[in-house]
Amino acid sequence: MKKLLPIISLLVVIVAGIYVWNLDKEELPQQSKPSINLASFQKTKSCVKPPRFLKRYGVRTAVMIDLSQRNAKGVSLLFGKNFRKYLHSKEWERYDYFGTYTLDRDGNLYLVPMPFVSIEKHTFEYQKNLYKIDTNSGKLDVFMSFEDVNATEANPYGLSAIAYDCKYDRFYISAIDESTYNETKGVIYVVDRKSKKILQKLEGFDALSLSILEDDKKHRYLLAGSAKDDALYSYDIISDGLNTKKVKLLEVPTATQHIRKIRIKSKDMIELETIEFSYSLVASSDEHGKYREHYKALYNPKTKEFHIEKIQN
Amino acid sequence: MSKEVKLSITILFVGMLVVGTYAYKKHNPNYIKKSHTSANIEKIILPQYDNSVYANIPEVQEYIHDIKKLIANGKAVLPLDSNELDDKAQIAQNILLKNQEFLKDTKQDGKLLHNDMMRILPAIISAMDAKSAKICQTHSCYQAEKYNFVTNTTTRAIVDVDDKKVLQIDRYSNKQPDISLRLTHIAQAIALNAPEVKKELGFKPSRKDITMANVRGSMKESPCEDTTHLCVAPTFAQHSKEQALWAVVDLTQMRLAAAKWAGLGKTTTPACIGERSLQNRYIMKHYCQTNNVIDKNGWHIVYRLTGSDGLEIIDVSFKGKKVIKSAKIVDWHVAYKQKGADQLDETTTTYIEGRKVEFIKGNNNEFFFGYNDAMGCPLFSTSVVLAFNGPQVKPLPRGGGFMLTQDFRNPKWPMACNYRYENRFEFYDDGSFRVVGVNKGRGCGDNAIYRPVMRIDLDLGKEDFYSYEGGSWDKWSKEGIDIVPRDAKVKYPYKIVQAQNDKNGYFIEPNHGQFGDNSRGDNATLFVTKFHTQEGAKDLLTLGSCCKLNEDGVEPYVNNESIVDTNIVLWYVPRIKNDTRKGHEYCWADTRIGDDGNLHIDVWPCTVGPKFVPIKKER
Repeated sequence: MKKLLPIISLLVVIVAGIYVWNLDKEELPQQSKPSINLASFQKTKSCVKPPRFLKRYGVRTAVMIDLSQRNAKGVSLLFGKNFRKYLHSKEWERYDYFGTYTLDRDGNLYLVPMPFVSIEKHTFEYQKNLYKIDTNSGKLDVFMSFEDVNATEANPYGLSAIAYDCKYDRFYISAIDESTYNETKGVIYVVDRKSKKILQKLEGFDALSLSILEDDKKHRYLLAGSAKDDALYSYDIISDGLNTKKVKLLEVPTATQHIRKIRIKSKDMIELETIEFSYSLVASSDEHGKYREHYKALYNPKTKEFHIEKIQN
Repeated sequence: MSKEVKLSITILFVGMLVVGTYAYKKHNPNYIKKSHTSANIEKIILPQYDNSVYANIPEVQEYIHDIKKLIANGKAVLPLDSNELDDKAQIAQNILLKNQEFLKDTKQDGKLLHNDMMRILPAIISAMDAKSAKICQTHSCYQAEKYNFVTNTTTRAIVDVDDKKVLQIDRYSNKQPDISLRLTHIAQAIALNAPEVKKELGFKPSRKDITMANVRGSMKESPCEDTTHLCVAPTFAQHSKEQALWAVVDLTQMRLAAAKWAGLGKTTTPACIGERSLQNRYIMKHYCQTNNVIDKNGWHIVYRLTGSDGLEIIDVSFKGKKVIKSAKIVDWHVAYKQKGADQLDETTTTYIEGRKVEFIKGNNNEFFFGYNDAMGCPLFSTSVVLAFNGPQVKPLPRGGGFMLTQDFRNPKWPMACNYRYENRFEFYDDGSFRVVGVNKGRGCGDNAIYRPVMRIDLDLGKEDFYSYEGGSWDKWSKEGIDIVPRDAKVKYPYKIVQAQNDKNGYFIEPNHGQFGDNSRGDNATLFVTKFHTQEGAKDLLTLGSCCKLNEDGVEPYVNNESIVDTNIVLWYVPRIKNDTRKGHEYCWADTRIGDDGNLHIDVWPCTVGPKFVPIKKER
């Protein structure tokens, strides 16, 4: 029996080796890359409403929020046939330019600032505020300031994206001011709308766009387009805020493009608008949308993979 | 313990150690990252050599000769060689080269434009409209693609070879086709002859070293710095190292545009990211994130690119003696003069090429409009005129020293309202140096007034400043402003010296056109201020108004402070007027169609800036 011991030992080592080898093959990818758990999803009806003050001006049709600066500085609301008419108040120019927006269930319009090509003395100061146009009065004012947001000449961006969560009546707001060429130090704030209290501050990700997705299993996700790479990520939305673990959902085909707009268009289909973004002001001068690209991201719930198709402009 | 037991324990111990180590290495993310790093290392190489290297390549010479001959004979489309065509494709080509509709876009203002026939193949159904498709069900049809190098347009035609008829012509502006075999060979030749490629590979490569299984497919879609150019990317693979050298070749300009060592991932291959992105990354990594050092001809220079103040030199010394703490051009003010101030609408904001335009009313119903241009790093900055390529060291054209120079451009230069500036520092073997700004147009038109704002902080310790007045040196006691003499009657109208030793310092020699660079002089204003960190020691945002010609933007820093025995900062603001008159161009750039049917850029730079001459050398 003793003579068999070395052979038994050798067999034990071989079995252990085979086990580890198989672990390497099967388990490692799962450990290194969080998997996508998203089920099939649809375009869901949002609770947000248009601003009430529109009725005062006789605007009863759909409006489009225009931040392009083509019609006027700041924000203007397009309406009428082919959205050719626009509503604008001189007062809406007082905080310069806006990059994106969201509405809430009462029709208040929240605006995220954006530095435009020419820097003024107050430009950096404006980047730390979330602005609101009141649904009743139509007045533009600072909704809340994020005192830890500090745009500079080395990174002129402050707040960069927003999404409104109807279920919890709160905002997800991103800031990218702290990031440098070498470091990603962006923040996603979870903010209660009524109390304006910051519920959570999730650090280490630069979100250029945010949107909410609910799948057929009623799981809810915050989708985030990255300012640093060409990918779309998701965070699980939980009652307290966000699960800190993010999952990469997809990459667009062009590495220099960054997702600026996310729209859930139809069953298992997300439409993405991308721009070249380099934390400088040059991309903002893209007045005619020349550098924007559009993609359809078609989700297969069985394979848990997205298929990307470019939409020709 | 028996021999068998000992052996078993040894086998178990050694075996488990090996298995354990293997498991750790494979499952530790840091280790995984490290072990794959070699394949993912990125190294970007920007061209450092003269483009004339490529003009001497036989394939390029022959190609350019053929185009010139073609244009001289009144034709614009270089046909495909017969070795790229079958008999029917040859017929299709002959038909198309006589078809007026197909050739309609080959002329501009009476000048023939360079076009290449790229490929002619049996027509595929997806390229045809319904009418053509029906005919081609029974007829032999070919599709041909022609590329216009000037307008960056592809024309596709469907030809019914049986009936010798052109069925369909479609034009696609800003679209580029697959390239011809001839251009493929030329791209390979450029890559093989590029000194940068040879240097990187460590040997003289041959065609067999180029990896292109599907030549056309793999060489497509590699945008140049100018997306209107036709670029391709021959690749030299090193399979053992899991990496490849990509050579981005610009076939519109017949040159190497950039090269890059990369793995095979999407985010690293030039085919997906293009020359401009490569340049941006290279510049950020090498010049915006780190200081660089030059030690040459006795000069020790530290330099870097700033976020919005262009190229900055710091801690400069000559033969061990401190010379400059910091020198840079913080802004270019750009102003245009026009009539019609009474009709000026100041209620709406105006933008030109993305910049906010400032309007200032003047006298006689004149007004000035323009903007301030900040130059700097391409990413993480507020600059609108961006660094192209990296800083370069070159010998001075007239000898006696060298220059450190950086090119800044709007990506669309030389289109209207786009600019190109050069920040240059000249270092002479006698210890002199010159701070130089070069404007290469093109701007929005004539009547432009350019004002580069130069900030120069010498490193002489406590300093004093003098101007030459009425035959003697007058020491300045307070901060002040002076209009720099417009003539050269006094060679050195100013000097800045060490407070304890007035022999140690520099004369300031304004430029009146004596430096051999076709300059029409500085016409500058000089500001002398006491050093304050917040007054430009760090990156300055745009300074003052572009268009108030009675102000240069530095005025707020001049507030009567004493400048005796202190750290002084000099602000030198030249004033240049551009000239667009034929034969007298200055600060201007223009494009023209050359005898090769291609677009060529003519540049008439204007060069300004003072020279600093050591006092000791003069005496």
